[in-house]
Amino acid sequence: MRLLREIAEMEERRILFEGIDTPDIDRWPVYCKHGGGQGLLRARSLSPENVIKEIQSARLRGRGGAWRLVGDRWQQAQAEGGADYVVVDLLEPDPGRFRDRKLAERHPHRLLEGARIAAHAVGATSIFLCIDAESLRARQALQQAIVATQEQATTIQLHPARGPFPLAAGSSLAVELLRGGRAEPQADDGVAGLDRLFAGSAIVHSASTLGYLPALLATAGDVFQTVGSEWAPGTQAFCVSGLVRRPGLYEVELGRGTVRDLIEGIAGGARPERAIKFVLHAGYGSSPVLTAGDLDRPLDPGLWADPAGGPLSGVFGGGAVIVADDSVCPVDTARRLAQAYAGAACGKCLPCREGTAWLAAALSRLEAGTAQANDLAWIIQRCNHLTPAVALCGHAPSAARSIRALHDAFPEEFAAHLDGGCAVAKDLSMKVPDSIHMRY
Amino acid sequence: MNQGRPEAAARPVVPEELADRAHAIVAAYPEPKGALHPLLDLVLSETGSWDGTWAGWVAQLTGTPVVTVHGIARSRRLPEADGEEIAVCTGLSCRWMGAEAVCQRLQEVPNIRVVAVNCLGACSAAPAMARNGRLHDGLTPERLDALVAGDR
Repeated sequence: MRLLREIAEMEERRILFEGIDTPDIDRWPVYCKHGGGQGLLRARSLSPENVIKEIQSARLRGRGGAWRLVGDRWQQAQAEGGADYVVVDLLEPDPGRFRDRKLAERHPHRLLEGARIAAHAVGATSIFLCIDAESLRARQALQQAIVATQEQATTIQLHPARGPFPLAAGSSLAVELLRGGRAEPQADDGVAGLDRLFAGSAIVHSASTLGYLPALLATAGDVFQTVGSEWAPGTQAFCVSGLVRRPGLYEVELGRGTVRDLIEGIAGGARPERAIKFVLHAGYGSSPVLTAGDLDRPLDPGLWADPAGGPLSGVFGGGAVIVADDSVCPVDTARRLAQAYAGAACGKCLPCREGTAWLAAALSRLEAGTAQANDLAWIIQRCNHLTPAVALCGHAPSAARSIRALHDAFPEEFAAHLDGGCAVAKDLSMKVPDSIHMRY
Repeated sequence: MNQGRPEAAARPVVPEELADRAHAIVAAYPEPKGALHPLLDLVLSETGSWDGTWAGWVAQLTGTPVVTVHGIARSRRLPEADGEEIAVCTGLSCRWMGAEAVCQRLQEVPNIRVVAVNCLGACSAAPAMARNGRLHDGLTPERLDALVAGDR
């Protein structure tokens, strides 16, 4: 009964993607006709200090995955003399995440308006949009929006860069690409959440974070008053993919409902005659693997961020939810994850470059049934060694955590592969979901 | 082993329109080096391939050592110089939704090189592939056959 009630209660609540279904919303006149631009107008009628106060009282947190308070970051930046540049991170290298790209493709003016509000608040006059060069539709939409809204006050420049990019690299990757460097993350040299860029400083935000600003400024923060949890007001757009009946992009209220409500309610649950086996909640490996019994975790990042490390602790992440059913082998999943991480390693840190490649090779042997008796113990030992202490960014630790988490969730299945056996009847045929939500 | 090194003496013949676009990109940055990645993308998207002769041109525009430009370019995902290439996403969602079957079907088609990539960012509409940079997602056996037959 409880589950049925919560499923019934959980529904989409659009703030970030409000108006995205409006035809031609990517055109400036249409965007304005539907209320676009009001947030920026109001922001510019206020002093930067008052804009910061409003965002602080609204308690907007960054949606890139770190969930830091945006207003506090801006206040710190202002105390350091302000930022010269706003860098919008649209890279999204973590598989399973495509939210920022959709926002850029379908709602580019909302993103640009948010970026201009941020620039006004921190005193920046230039905005750089750092994007994967192969996101052609998003680039085109953003370029058209930039041309349509050119102004003297703030310049906006698209910064396309070709992948591959390390996963979980953090904001320093976008800044390094702007410096003309390799796609390698740097150790944090920033002060007060600022990164050094050219001869000045930059503040980096994910596109989704900025997408909330127009609505917040237009309503003086009212839009967050009654929506979301106390720790994280507002909504979160979840990218639900994998083996569910209705995959797609769903924006739901934070603190209302559980992971189960999201997957089994809104996204339709498992396919007929299948059952949910596990969920990679924060995309690849930033969070413990959620098994079928763990799905009643509330969608409230504040509870996940428990510093005491309680049963709910874990990384809430940036909204990627990858769902596996009982046709999926966790060892095969771990192997594929390791290969993805090894392929995207930038090569700067030796433990990461060699460690992810070694894990990929060992897991391939395990999956193929040709592993030696001590291979599994070595895999776990290597995972335990790949901690943040030995790596410059989150790439290798994220790989290690994901593989370790899969092993911890399904130890018997990993052990069975040592004897050459896999109990799962894998189904790798082409499948068609019932529908795809917010597919454009 | 000299393979892959920039040819210091060779300089590409740069069309005027391409040069104008490159200068406009450089002018948008406070420091020319900032334009390095967009310039690499410009060369790759306009020429369809990368060779060392372009490194000198990009190096000159950005004030960056040639070897640095070449090293960064070679660490990026570069298109092959010849033949049609189809990138099939083999990320988890795509794998579970049938990427292997997509690869098998495409490998039956002559003169197409099938490349497995980590993620094309179309996870909810898996399986997905990119042909000549254009994304095709939500693939079904019928849709794939139609794409292979050129009926797009």
